[in-house]
Amino acid sequence: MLEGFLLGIENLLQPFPLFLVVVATLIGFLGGALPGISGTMLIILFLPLSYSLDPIPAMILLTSIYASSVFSGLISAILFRTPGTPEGVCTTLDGYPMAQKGKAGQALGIGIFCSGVGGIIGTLFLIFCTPLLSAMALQFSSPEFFALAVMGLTVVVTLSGNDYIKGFMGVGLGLFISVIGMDPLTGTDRFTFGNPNMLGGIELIPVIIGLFAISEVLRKSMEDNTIKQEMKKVKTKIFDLKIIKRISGTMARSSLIGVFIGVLPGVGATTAAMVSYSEAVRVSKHPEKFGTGIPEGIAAPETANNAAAMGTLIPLLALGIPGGATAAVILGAFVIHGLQPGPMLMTNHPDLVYTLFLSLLVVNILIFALSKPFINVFSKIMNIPYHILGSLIVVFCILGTYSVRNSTFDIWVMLLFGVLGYFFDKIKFPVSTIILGLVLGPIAEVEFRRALEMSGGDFSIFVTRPISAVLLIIALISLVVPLIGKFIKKDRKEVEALN
Amino acid sequence: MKENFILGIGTIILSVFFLIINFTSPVRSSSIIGANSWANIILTFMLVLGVLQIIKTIRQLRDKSTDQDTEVFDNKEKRTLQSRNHWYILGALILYAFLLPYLGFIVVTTILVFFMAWILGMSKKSQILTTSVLSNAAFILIFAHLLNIPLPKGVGIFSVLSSLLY
Repeated sequence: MLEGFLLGIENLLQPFPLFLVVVATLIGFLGGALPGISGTMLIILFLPLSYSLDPIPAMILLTSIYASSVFSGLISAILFRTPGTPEGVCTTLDGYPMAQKGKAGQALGIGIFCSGVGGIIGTLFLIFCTPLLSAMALQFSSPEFFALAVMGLTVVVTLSGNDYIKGFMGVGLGLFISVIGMDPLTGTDRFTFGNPNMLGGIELIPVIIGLFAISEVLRKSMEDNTIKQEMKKVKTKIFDLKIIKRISGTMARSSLIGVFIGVLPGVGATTAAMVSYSEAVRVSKHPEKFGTGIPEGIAAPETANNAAAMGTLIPLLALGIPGGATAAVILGAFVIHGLQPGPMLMTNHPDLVYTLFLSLLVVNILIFALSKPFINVFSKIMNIPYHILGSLIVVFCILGTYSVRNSTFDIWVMLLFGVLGYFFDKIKFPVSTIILGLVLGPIAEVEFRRALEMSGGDFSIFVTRPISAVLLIIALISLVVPLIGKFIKKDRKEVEALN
Repeated sequence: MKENFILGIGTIILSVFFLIINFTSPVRSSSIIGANSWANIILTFMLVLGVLQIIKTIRQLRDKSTDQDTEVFDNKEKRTLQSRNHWYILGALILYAFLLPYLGFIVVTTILVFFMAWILGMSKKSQILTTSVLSNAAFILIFAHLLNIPLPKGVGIFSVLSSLLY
């Protein structure tokens, strides 16, 4: 290991690799901050560029872009209620309300700090625990994945506010939308009505952009935008010791959740952010404050998604199994460069592996150094009058949506959810629960059905396997306790009213 | 209150509609939980929620409870002369999505940005035109050239025009 580290340091501390790390970080920042351009897309776009490079610089370029794009999704999530990447959708829930309260700088500072720390912790796990965590991940099978998805879904109770029926409706709608298209297990089409555009299902990005960004544009268009709004300069404060102390517990827990979920094949950083947010709510003494703009609501998803982003590389490097969609693209990049990720990679190419580890560490440190100047430039966008900004946001949303599959059908989906989002906002319907169902639905369904295939239809498989049982019990408690608490409160109020 | 009622009814109608489609579609798999079953579980769940929503709304109407959540966001105090803007913008976006494959990205986006900037309050037409042309150029540069995303070119003469630029 030490030898590998020394080789890695020797490789990285050269002008060209260092230059690549900085440039790739900035590219990732820009791409991640712009809605609709995800880390996966950026890597795909720069993959041809990497052909002309040697394997080590090529992999530095691609992995650095990925690591920095996961962070920068929070910028537009907080400033414009439009997550720049899917991993940033949970950050919108508390980040935007905090910005609305005039604390955009604080929200960004918390996000930057948590992203950097989450990424560093994830990278340290990547370095030291790759063999160990991969073995643990192999213990997870379909029942455990299903139980994990159910645990993630229980955050609906808190996202619903006081109206649980609407919250569960949102989750149900999200779960139903995730069903549309081709069944992943049998290949049969469901609810496509013969429309070939629907065979691929309803993509997440058009739904997110519609529900959050387009609805926001429709809402803001009703305001008088000829009045020049005095935008205070966004002063990002990263190292606020009081806040850091407050969120340290959340960050510690979320980084572990993030790494662990990142390691699980096929789950990804978006799910990690959601489960982490769910857990933060569950363990909080004031769960009702989530969604109103509290530091923990930003710390939980941002720490987790950056830790998970590094975690997805663990099974990739150790076993050759991608931990998420972006890791799958990176796997392709390895193969193109004549490398085979897996157990032999560390033996045959220790210099590459350790150079990658160290470059990822540098990227996560650069988040602290470069994010503030980047945000200063990016946030000047807030001073642009809304009659220009609103128009540009809409076109960015359209382009971002279109570029997912080069399909105008997705634009129609975005518009539909934009309208739905607008009306849902008016009736205080928690739209974030729809995203919850949409993200976790595919995992929940596929693993549920696979688990039952494994057990021959015996539902007890979910409770006889220890890990699955524990996760489901936690999920049940998370669901039932707040509901019981609400009824007890209501009863007490009625008794007091009678007295 | 009315909106909650509509939400409940809408959920029931949606659930029943898709349940009927699901039950009448042929069962094409022999697995234990087939392609249709998971959807049935979710739709039944939503049907129950729709019914619960209606029951809750009726109870609230009956109780005339005042400590419930504000169900209708009262826009009146924020309503300004621009209160119909969201309908105009929505109409513009629908038209945009419809015309995009025929007229291509350049033409419809220029018109959309022009319209939106004007409707959102920009008054000087020269400024609006400059904004829409420059922003369009930036989008084409970033998305079509740098990111190699094949933007819609339209048909006929619009395709020829688009090909000149990307």
